[in-house]
Amino acid sequence: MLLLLLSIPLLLALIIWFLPASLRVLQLAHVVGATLLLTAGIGLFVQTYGGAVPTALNELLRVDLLSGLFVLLITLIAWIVGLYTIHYLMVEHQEHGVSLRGGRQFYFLLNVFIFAMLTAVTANNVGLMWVAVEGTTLATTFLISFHGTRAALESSWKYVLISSVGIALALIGTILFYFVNVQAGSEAEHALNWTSLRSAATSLNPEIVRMAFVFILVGYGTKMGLAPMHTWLPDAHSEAPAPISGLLSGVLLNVALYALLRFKIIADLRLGGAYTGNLLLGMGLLSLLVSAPLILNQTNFKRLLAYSSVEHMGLICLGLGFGGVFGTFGALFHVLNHALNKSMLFMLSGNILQRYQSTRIPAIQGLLGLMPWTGALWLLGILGLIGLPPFAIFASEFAIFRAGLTGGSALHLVVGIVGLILLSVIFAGFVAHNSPMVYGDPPEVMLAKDPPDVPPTGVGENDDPPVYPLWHTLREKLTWATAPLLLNLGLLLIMGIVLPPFLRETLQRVVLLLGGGS
Amino acid sequence: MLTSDGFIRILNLLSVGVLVTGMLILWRRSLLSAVQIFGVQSLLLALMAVWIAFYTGAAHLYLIAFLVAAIKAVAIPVLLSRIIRRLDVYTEIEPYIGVATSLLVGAGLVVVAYFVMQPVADATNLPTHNALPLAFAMVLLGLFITVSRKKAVTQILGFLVLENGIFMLAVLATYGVPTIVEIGVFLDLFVGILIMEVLVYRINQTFESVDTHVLDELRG
Repeated sequence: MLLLLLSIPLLLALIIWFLPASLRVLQLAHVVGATLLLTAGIGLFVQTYGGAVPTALNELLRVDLLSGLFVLLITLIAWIVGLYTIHYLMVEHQEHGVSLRGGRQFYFLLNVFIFAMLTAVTANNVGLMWVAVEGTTLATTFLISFHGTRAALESSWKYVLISSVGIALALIGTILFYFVNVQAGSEAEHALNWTSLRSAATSLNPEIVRMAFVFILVGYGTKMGLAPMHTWLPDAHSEAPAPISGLLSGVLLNVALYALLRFKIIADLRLGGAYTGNLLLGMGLLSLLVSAPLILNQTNFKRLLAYSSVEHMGLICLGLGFGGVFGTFGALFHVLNHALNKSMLFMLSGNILQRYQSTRIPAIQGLLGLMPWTGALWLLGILGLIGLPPFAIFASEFAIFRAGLTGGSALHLVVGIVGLILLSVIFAGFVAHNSPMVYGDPPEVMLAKDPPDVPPTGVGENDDPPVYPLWHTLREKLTWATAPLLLNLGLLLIMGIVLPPFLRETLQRVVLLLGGGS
Repeated sequence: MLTSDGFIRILNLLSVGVLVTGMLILWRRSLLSAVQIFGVQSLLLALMAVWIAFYTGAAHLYLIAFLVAAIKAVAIPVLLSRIIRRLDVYTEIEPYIGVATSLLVGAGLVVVAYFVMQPVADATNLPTHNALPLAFAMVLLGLFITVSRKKAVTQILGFLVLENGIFMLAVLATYGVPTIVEIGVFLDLFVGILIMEVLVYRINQTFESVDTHVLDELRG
């Protein structure tokens, strides 16, 4: 099952490479492949849930429940994104001059990207894990510059350079872990295996483990978008095509977090939880501090979502930093909720951009009237994102802050209170930006009965009012651009009201794996 | 059999050679010669790997040394020189930080590296441990080159120097990481450089410049 899972996106990428450049054919292939992949992902998750720990290729790959959970998350979101691209790319092709060969390149890179992410979360060898995480950067660079605009090129340059340099630091951390493991007497050939590190954990040189974890935190933290290494994130996530933004924010950040978690487990076994916990609290709080004012003053709705990802990665760090059963449980739960919520919103932002031809918040008015499906999902998604019940993020944020405020540590109490204040600032920012977008009337020009028959002008790069083709002025119907996202919303509602028992048990068992029970 | 003393002496010589090339890259404004110096540095690293393999009998290092020589000493310098010629950008005219200051900072980074890496050097009795701080100094130098220069090509070069530092660290601290991982790292690096090359061409086409400070539209 494990090798099958990895071979699906790899084979699919190869097949797509040789397919004729026709969107219908490409999309059919991709959707069939993504569905198979989801099936395999669920299968693998069920296997690990049943207590099995499958390994492959001489223990190079190993899937425990922590991996299983991330495999499930990646394959599920990738499936939803796959469905979403059906409508999205068709519009891009018809209106924005995306060529059919461009479409083929898109699906090829998308599958390589998914392959790299799945390899990262199923690798037992932490060196291979690093190679795969760097692979995700390489696979996504041209996806981010897909539209070829100046801003897209700028952001993909920053992305590939900053991410590669940042993650190189994680390689130093990885080598240092290897070094202490060999020093502790582990067999060199397997000393990069996570299982080998774990069994030798208590005899590792603590001073070097401390140092190595800092490298790991800065390195994978860069990829995770933690402040102050987050500078590439708002550019890349806002310039990428919407489905890619959804995957970057919803899933890829979590893959970097996963890598961090693997090392945290080892470091905690040697040093106790306080060392890594306090570092994570610092990074988490800083990420909230940096993102709050930028959210408050934001004029671009895709950047708004991107900064919100910095914020939510910070929240996850806070949960892990508070630790204990509640903190760790809340953090993991938050990973799932944020992934579902943010990927949905990014895809919706693509719909809005395609209609209104702008990413500027003031240019968007009357979403609910013009685009009832997108508008309603957007409104509910934003309410969920800022932590209103009954959506799931409320539950996970509640668990995180409960851990901070009731843990009995003065430091945690202070961090928790500051965190809550920042959260309310962000809450206010979102409400202020969002209301004019959703309510009110669409701009005059979009309601014109007889719109001038001119192709749309550039995508929100200047202040001139754009000119819209006919369908932009019609009331939106339910299409592939919105229907798949109903699943995100449904899951967020269900998980917010009552956490399904199997998920609760999974999270509880992963918390034990992370040492959060002690 | 060679004495450990002789082994260490040659090794230290190679390490200092690597550091000198790092400083030279910091000093030279001519991009072509900086790229050539990088090639020399990579060659020194390959020699270092061969030397350690020869002395310790760690046979997998021969393969790694070959890869370093082929990819970092030949393929990548050829690639970068091609970019420089095609785009007609031969010099780093106005780096964010001047050459004299850069060299001072570089020297400071070497000192920092000694402080940071001392615990690692102390934790091992491998004959290679004395040179460990120099490897980390290369990492810091690479990082510094990347952030202090404007031309995209120089930034790539900084990243490559950083990678060389990491490679040197791995070779000195643990005689290299397991081969499969090492190959994966090389693959990432090579593909990464190819991607950056394509991006540099596209940026040059669109912005008519490869000074990365023109990339300043995205803020806030």
